Amino acid sequence: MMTHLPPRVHARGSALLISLVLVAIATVVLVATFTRVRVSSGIMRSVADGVSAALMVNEAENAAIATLRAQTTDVGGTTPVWVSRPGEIVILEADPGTGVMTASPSALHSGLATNYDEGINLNAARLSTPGLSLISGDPAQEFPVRWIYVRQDGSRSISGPGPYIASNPVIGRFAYWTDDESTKLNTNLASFRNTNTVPSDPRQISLRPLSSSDDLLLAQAIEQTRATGGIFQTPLDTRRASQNAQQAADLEAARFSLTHTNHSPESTFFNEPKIVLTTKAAVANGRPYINLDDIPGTVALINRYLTRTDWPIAPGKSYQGKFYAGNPDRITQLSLNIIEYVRASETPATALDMGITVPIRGTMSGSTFVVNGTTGSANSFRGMNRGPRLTELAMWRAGTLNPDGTRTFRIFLEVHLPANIGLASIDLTRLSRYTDVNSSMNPARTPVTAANCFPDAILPAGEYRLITWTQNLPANTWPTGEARLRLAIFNQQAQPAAIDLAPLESLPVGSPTTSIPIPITTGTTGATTATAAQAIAEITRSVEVDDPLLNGRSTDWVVSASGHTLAGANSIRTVGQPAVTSSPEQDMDKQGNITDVGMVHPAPAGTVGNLAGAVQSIAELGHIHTGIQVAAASQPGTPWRTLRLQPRHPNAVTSDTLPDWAILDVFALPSANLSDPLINPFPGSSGGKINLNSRIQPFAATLTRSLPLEALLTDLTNLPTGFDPNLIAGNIIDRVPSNESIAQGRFFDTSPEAVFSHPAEVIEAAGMADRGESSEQVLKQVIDHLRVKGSVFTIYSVGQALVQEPDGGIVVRGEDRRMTMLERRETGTAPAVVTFRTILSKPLNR
Amino acid sequence: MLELLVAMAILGILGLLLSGLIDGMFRGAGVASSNADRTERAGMIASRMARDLKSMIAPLTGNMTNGPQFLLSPGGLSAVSRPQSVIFQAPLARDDSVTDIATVAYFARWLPGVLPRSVLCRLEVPLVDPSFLAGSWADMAFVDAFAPAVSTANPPFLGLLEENVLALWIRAVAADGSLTYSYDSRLQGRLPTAVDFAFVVVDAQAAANLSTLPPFNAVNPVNMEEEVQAFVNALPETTRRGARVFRASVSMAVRQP
Repeated sequence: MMTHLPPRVHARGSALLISLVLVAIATVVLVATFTRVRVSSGIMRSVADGVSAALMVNEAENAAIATLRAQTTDVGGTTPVWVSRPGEIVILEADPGTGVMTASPSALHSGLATNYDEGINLNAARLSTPGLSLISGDPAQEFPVRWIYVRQDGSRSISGPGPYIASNPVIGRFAYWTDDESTKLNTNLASFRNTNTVPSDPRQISLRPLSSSDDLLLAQAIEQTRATGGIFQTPLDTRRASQNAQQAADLEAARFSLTHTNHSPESTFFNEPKIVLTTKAAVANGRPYINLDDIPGTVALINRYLTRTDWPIAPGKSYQGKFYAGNPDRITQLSLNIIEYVRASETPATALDMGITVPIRGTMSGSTFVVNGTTGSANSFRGMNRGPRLTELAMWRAGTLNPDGTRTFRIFLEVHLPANIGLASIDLTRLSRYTDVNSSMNPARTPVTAANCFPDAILPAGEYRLITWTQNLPANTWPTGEARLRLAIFNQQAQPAAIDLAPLESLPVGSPTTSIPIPITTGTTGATTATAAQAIAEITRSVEVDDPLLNGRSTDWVVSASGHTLAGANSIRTVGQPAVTSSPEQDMDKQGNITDVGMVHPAPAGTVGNLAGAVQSIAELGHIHTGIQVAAASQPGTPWRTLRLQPRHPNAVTSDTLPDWAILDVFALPSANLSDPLINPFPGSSGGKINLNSRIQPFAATLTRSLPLEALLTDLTNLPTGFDPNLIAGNIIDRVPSNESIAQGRFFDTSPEAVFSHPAEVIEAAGMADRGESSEQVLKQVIDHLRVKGSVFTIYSVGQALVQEPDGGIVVRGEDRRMTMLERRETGTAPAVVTFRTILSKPLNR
Repeated sequence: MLELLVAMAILGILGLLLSGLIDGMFRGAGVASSNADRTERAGMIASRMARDLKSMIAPLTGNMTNGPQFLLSPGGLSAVSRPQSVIFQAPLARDDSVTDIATVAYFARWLPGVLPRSVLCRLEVPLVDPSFLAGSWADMAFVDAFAPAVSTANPPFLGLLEENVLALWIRAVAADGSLTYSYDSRLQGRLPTAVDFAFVVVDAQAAANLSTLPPFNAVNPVNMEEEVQAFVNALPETTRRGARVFRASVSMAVRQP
């Protein structure tokens, strides 16, 4: 008998089947939908992570640019005094209260990481070539920088990701470090020392140290490549120059010290345009210059710097106070000397003037210099020109009266052509003379004849000649002891222009302190029998000067106790004697004795010694005399003293905190080549300079960059014995001050991670310029290539897209690395408009 | 018994339906995944192209006739300007032992043959001799030497970046903001300030059905988006369904004064 299942059971089975089918269909649909959504969201997330990582890199670059902008642009009308170095901008400020300069660094990086939980190595090994790294090339050199975490709302944290906040999780992080390209060798400009270009041309920087075989083959290959194959367009593009495996290896080894572009602002401590040491507006390229059409304005411009007291390195101090204490108006003398030097360097010789330049003369009217020939006041000025100097005076009178009752007087003017005044010789018969003796002798300007010259008329450099003549005076008008002397170029103008005159003050009868005391020797013979030689033999006293450039004050002239030195070196000449070592120090040799090697004036433009007809180095200002007419008429000047471009003497007073070298900050050379955009990328900036501040922050403990300074110091000429480029480069980088018997170096920033405040501060380093006046020769070949700040920076950055888990942990979803080279530009003045622009952007994650 | 048979029949039918459904679902998922892969690759290609373009460099001295340059659809590359091509220099050389500067080009190329197809090519050549850049250096001989994209090349398929890319539109934004399909930085005196590009990619099945392409419509760069869409609309229905358009806009990192 068949048994039927109960109908209730059938219904349950169908329902079960149908339910299963529906559940299966729903499951499949859900799985498919989920799969599609998951794939789509994965794509979207992948793209978004890439974008997010790139945005993190942008954040890093923006952070670096923000710091650069904040620290190097005008703030409230004042641009801070800043210097730069790899990893930092440093602001220099003076504290007038303490007289101390302080340095405040601002990081151009995201912070030094002490472990890789808090940061990342920017110099990671390359995946394609693990033996090389992304930045320096050497994977062993680590660049550990901290992460900066970014939350969804844009807030940042440098102390780790922090806790998970559902409404505001961490979404990314970035890290960066900024290099200063001005601390590198510019392979588009550096070459090797040569005579084809001026010393300040960046092509003079030698690439010899690049070569492991210490030769110039690689330097020549680089020059040849950029000449024929085009300039290098990126730092690594320099590799095109290598001609063999060794050169390729040398370039790779120097990778971290090479760049293809750099330039530095040409502004002063005070962020003002430098004064160009030229008299030619076209060469100045829009910057202030030595404008001979506006001498009062130029004097005022220079005086402004010489009198200001807000030097960051020496607050409250000025050059006026240093050299002209108590005589503020006399500072104009220093400005005039600078103007004269530049003018002489660009002035050729003519058939008429023999290369002698006529000094600028004038007086101060209030605070304004007035150009004129007036010499009647204590504040008369005469610039230090290129030409002969009056250095000794004597007068002889006949022992008997002439038949007409007059007495014959013979006057002797000694003329000296200083050895380094820039002229090989002069012909005295091309000059005229003028002597006013108590207004009792004919003051007319009179041509010098061969008969007036003793022993002859040709005066070679470094020697002395006499101009002598006789004059009969009535017995009752005998001169009693004061004279005024003048030497002029004959026939140059209708009124011969004075090229030397002593003293500057006019002869006020009855005021003997403003004219030269004249000792008179009474001879034993009559006028008709006494020749010049016989008269000289009888002269018992003369009046003379020590420093030939220092004869403008009557008090510079000293009556000899006995005898004379006519036609020879003066008896009171102090060269070779111990120098004054308290500041301001006299020029001294390495034994501490007075030297005249600093008394240099440029040769006529276009002649041997000055073929270029231009100032070749701002260090030539070391020849500027600082002792001329330092005070009122009654006080003598200081002989044998020029701007000291050396460390101060140990005996220098400690209150003398404004070094002479700081004045170099005010001046710049004309550009080596105005039309070369590599050297002159734009007005107010110079290419190819080397930043002294090469300390690599914050990795200085493990990273150094010495190659550029070694290159600068290589293949110099006229070097002191034992000059070692690598040793001195090390002294500069390590800030080892000079410690010589005549030179005690001191650096103005004494903080542990100190900076150079000015290129000329390099003078304070051991071995640089501490062997006396002659060691300034080295500086002339170096100083114009140095700077303390740059305008091209490279930001190395890494950004990561993150997902933060509820437990606070993070997951890296994407990464981007980039190298971005920036250029800082200044446009206009007071204040300059500063802009930044990218000149190279390169992905590094490959 | 009959009921059981009916139930089994129904169950069988349902099973068949279910298996078909599941199969269809997995097929769909496979297609979706394939499309997703293609989309992801195309997205990555667009990102790479954008990154490359962003890295282009200008001559250091600003003398645009001497050094790196940017050429959009130069005459010498008309054969691979479909409808545009671009060639420029950037510090992207994979092998930087001699220089890190490479000449980089992007273009779509039609490869005829038994199975004709269109591909996107990326050329990358280290710029070891910048004097090479003088004159009309960007020509087909150069492209054929370094991005032939064929199996007989050495290495094979040299320069082939992505299959089944039918066309590549590129327009440059000049300094004055104007848009152009043709740009020569040597004549303009500067790099463009930005570059926009779009390319059309289809799936393999859609590409297999395609033996010819509709004409490119590249007349007015202001209407580039519309012109791209018009091209897509002109594709056969079976191809059009598998076509995707990818676009990107790139601001140049290098700024010229």
